Amino acid sequence: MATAVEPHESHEDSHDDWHHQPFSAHHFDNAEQQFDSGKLGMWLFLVTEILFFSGLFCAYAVYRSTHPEVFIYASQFLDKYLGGMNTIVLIFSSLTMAWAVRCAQLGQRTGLVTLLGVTLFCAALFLGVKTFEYTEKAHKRLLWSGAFVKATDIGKQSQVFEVGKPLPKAEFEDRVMASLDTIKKFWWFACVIPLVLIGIGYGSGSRPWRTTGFAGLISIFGILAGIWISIEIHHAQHAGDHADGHGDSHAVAEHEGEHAEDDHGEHDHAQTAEEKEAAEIDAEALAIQEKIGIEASEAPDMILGEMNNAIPAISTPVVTNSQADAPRNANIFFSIYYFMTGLHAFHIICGMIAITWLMVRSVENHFRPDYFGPVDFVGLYWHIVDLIWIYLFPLLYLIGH
Amino acid sequence: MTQFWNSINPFPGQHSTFASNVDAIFYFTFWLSAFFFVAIVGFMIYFVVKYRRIEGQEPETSPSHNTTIEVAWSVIPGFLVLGIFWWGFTGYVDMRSPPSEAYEVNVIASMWQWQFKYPTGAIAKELHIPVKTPVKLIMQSKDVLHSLYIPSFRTKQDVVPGRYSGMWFEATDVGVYNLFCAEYCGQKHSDMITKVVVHPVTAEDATDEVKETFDAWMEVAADPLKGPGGVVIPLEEAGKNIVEIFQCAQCHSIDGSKKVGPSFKGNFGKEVEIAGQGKVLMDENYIRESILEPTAKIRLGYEPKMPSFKGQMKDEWIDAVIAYIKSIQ
Amino acid sequence: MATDVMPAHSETSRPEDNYLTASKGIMSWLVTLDHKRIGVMYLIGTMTAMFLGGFLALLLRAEHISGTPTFFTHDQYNQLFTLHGAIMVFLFIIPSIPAALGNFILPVMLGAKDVAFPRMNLCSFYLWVIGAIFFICALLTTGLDTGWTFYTPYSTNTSQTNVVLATFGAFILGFSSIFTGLNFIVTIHTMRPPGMTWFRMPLFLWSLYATAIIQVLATPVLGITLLLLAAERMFGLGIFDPKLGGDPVLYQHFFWFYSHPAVYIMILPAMGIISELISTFSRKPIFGYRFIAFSSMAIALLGFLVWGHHMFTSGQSEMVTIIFSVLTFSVSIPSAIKVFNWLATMYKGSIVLATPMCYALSFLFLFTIGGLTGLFLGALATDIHLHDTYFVVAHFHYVMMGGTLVAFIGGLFYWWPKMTGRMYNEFWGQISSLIVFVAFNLTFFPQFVMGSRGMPRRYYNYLPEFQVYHVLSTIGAFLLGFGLLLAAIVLIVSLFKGKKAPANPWGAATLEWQCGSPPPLANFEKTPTVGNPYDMNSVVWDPDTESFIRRGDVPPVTD
Repeated sequence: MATAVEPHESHEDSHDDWHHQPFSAHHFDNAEQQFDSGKLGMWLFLVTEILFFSGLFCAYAVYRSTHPEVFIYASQFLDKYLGGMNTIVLIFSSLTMAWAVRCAQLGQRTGLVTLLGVTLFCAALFLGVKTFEYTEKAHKRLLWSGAFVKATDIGKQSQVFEVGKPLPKAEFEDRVMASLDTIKKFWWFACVIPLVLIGIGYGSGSRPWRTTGFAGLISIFGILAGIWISIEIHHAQHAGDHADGHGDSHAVAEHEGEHAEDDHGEHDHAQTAEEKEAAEIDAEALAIQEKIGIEASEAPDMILGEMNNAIPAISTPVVTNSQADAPRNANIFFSIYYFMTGLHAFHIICGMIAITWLMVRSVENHFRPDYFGPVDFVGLYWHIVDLIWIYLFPLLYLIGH
Repeated sequence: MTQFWNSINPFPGQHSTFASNVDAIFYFTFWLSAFFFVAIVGFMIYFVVKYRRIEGQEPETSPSHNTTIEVAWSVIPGFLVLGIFWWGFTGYVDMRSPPSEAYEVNVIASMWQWQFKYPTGAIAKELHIPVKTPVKLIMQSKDVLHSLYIPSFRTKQDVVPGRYSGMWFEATDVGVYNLFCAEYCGQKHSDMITKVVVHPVTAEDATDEVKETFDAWMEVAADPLKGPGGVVIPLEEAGKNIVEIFQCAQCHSIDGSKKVGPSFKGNFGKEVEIAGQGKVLMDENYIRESILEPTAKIRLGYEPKMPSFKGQMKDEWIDAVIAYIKSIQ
Repeated sequence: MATDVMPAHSETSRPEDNYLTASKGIMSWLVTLDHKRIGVMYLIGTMTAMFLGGFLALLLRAEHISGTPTFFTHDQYNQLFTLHGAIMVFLFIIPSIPAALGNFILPVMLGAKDVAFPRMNLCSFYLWVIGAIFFICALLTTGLDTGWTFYTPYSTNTSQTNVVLATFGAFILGFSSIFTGLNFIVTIHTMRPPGMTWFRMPLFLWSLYATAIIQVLATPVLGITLLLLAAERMFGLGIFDPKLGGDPVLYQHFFWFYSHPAVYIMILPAMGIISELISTFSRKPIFGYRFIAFSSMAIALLGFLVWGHHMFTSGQSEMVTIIFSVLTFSVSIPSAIKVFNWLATMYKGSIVLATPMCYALSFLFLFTIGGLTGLFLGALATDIHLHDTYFVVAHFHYVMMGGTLVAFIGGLFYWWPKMTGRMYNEFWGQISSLIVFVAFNLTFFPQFVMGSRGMPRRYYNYLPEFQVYHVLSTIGAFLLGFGLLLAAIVLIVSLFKGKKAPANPWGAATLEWQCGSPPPLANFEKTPTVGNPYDMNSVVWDPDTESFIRRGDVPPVTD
């Protein structure tokens, strides 16, 4: 990305050998200068990335210090196991990325392609887990501040929000449901695109198309695997928490439970009511699962089907997580959570595109021991994305744990 | 002499305890800057004339650097500006440390008006304060950022929504001064101007401009139903005062023209069209409801923009407003 | 659009002689990777933006001919000053010197064939174009009435105009600026030819280097701020909205964390240009080279520590306010050093009042006023009175316009022969500088007076006592517009009627004057001799070619 790779231009004048090599840019004197420029450029770009996030870390620090109770309260709704797993996945992908750079330096093409594929899969896995987390939170109405408001004047002022009470059946939930349905339909369609690409690739003998297709397939399966693993982790945790053990908004229940045990005796009633409701939902989900009788791992579309069931149905919004004992402005935490993780996820997606590009080029055998700059630079980028997550994880997930 | 000085003085008159210090820092900085400016431009012009290029004559060589001189002209201005900083800093600390016995006024800024509320319950659209008394303003904003600025007092403070901002000052002279909003706040930002009226504390300090003492003003202001000396005034007149205090004229005209809200004139006793509810008679009940619950019945063709005055307007005041509206039909 | 600047070169024997004639057709410009052509395209773009912004400014001043509504409504006025500010800041001043002049001059001055990443350079230009389109769309649809600072909560909750569109425009322009800065840093680090050591770099390059550091470090923070602002407005994120628990003052901190360093993005390259102009036209090595170079770096770094002085009355804590005040004064020192060194350079020189030098001397005069009035605003007690008044408006126009714009025009006149291969009419050039100088003072000096008398800024109507100053200012503004137009006409006429420019018309010793005018495609036909960039003795006037040429008998000075 930061490298200036120019098509070779034929100059009559007395250039040395280096200028006749495929990816040498004419305005550099030698390969070393080209590599150094690229590397410095990449480092500077990474500095801008860090500063980009630093604004958000500042906002985090400000609100964490002015509203500590909000952070302690709200972070309990994040699933540290899912976050932890994502952390491991990303650290592992950094390893494979670094290894891929080494392969590029040594000219090992097969190793390079394989390791890039693994990195891509890990990235997709991360996104899958994130998809599950976002969906689950949306269903529990754990959203940013403005999501609990209504437009004052539909039409002219529809973008302007004012504080209001949570709506009994908010519009955004329908949107979330709709978007999940879209994913459900879309994943087949999403597979079609890479398959077509592969087909074109084989048909026309174009390796770049083919490679792009395979990278797309890896990404789709990575995402689906991430969603599936999330559901499994979610269930496993719930089995530990409750005897009847099936997925629902366990975090809420857990939280409620803690409060009940601690000092809020009056919450007992609410808790029972809620658990009862949760159990009903569980039973329903279980029934559907049994009726279908398919293990989630067997068919990816069932994963999505089950995911919808693993989350309480839309008609029974779990606002019961007692808005009453939530600290004022608790949603500011989720504003920050969604913005930071969302921006990070966007960087993951950019990284996946870059890795796909690298895969295409490495299959084409572009990288050699004296020209591996792009792999190195994307590698640096990937480590930074990883590093940012390593900060985000404890700052968001591990407060008060 | 004074008049001449005033005409070239770059400042408005000094009318608060801060003003003389602020002006002193200003003039110190001004003369210091003027010295450097004249020196720099003087040398520049001198060099241009003296060392102008003459064909065929190469310049004589001169040193390309001189560390002693360069360090000197880095360090000396450094000390000078630190001096300015120190003076400005001490002045600032005074401005931000209100004395504990200060007279407190609550300020509510909204687009695009000021409202001043006094401990006695009086409400005014101009800031009335006693002379030679420390006054502390406790300010809040209903909507966006505003900034309360009184040039004659040399003081200014932003009003930030969602928190209280404070400022204080002590007026030294009886008189009427400008009060501006200095932070851009939308369409009519430049109309968000009002006056500061500094009242004498005792009658002998009165000037032609401000005759009332602060207590006399307060007596009237605290009860809009009464005139000076506690005399009961006609209800319509009291209503007019109240309409003025609450600045109803910002949205309601008294000549029948359409503003943000419907006009006071020409509607009373008539059937008016309500959005989505057919027609209702505009009578005493309708006015009362509109003041207390403005969104209950919205006139067709108008936006639900009016704030509720519940808890702000007493019942007798509403009666007076109704009387006033009746009187201008 | 790009074809306008291509002079007819019928007399040249080889059309591939220089970068303008190396290839033909509009596409050869639109997809060019040549830094010189990109610089020229930037020049056309930023000048267009400047005249648009200037036109809006004249409308603003026209409105102020009286204190009551004159030509426009409240809303129109608010949109005018917002768009004037936003266009001038984001579309003109920030990219003007680095992206237009810098792009053209930097590699040539450095002795490199191009910038390190030519594609990124072109991408930066197109990002500028896209950002400009966003702004124009905002202008043509609903306008924008938030002030160029987009202060919350007005911008997120109240304004009825298309804030999101303009915000994305500014966001994209930010990336354009980052790419330029990144390119410059890498170019200066890795592309220096043999012999070009750090302390043989001309001071313009030092200033561009310092600018680039600010661009790379500060602009991302603006980016995230604008994203948060857009998310706030579209989704009600709540970070800046007091109704949702957010803090509007936090927005101001974020905004000024970028926008104060951005002030130095604007002024530092201008200072670099002045260093070149004064030394060349005094025919003297610059006095105190290292002090000037280091003061550029010092300004770049200190510039990051003073943003809070925009917020002395905003309600930030008193301690923070005091710290920012003392840091603010510290940043005045490096600027003072530069002014003193420029004066010392003129001492015992051989000064010629060519057009660029006239602009440079105007700069010295105006920038000194601009800088010194900063002291009034840095001192806390006086700032409380002067903040958000016309005093501030006058102060930053003296620095941004009297400083940056005047230096930009000076630099443009200076490098114009190099860029186009044409000499302009010297007499009319000098006249334009005189008009600009006089009109500028007439426009903005009255604003100091009315500001200190308490005239708040961004006021549509004003009280009658301010009218005399407003009228003076308005007359000055129209005269200023005329002066700038005259400068533009002088330059444009030169394209058609100007004499052919020699390689080195001014007698400067920096490398860009060693190649032809205009430079060939690869900048240098033979590798340039790198020596002391301010060794004026190394060039002599050659009456035969009517140009300065390198003297054969003088050995290159090694520092």
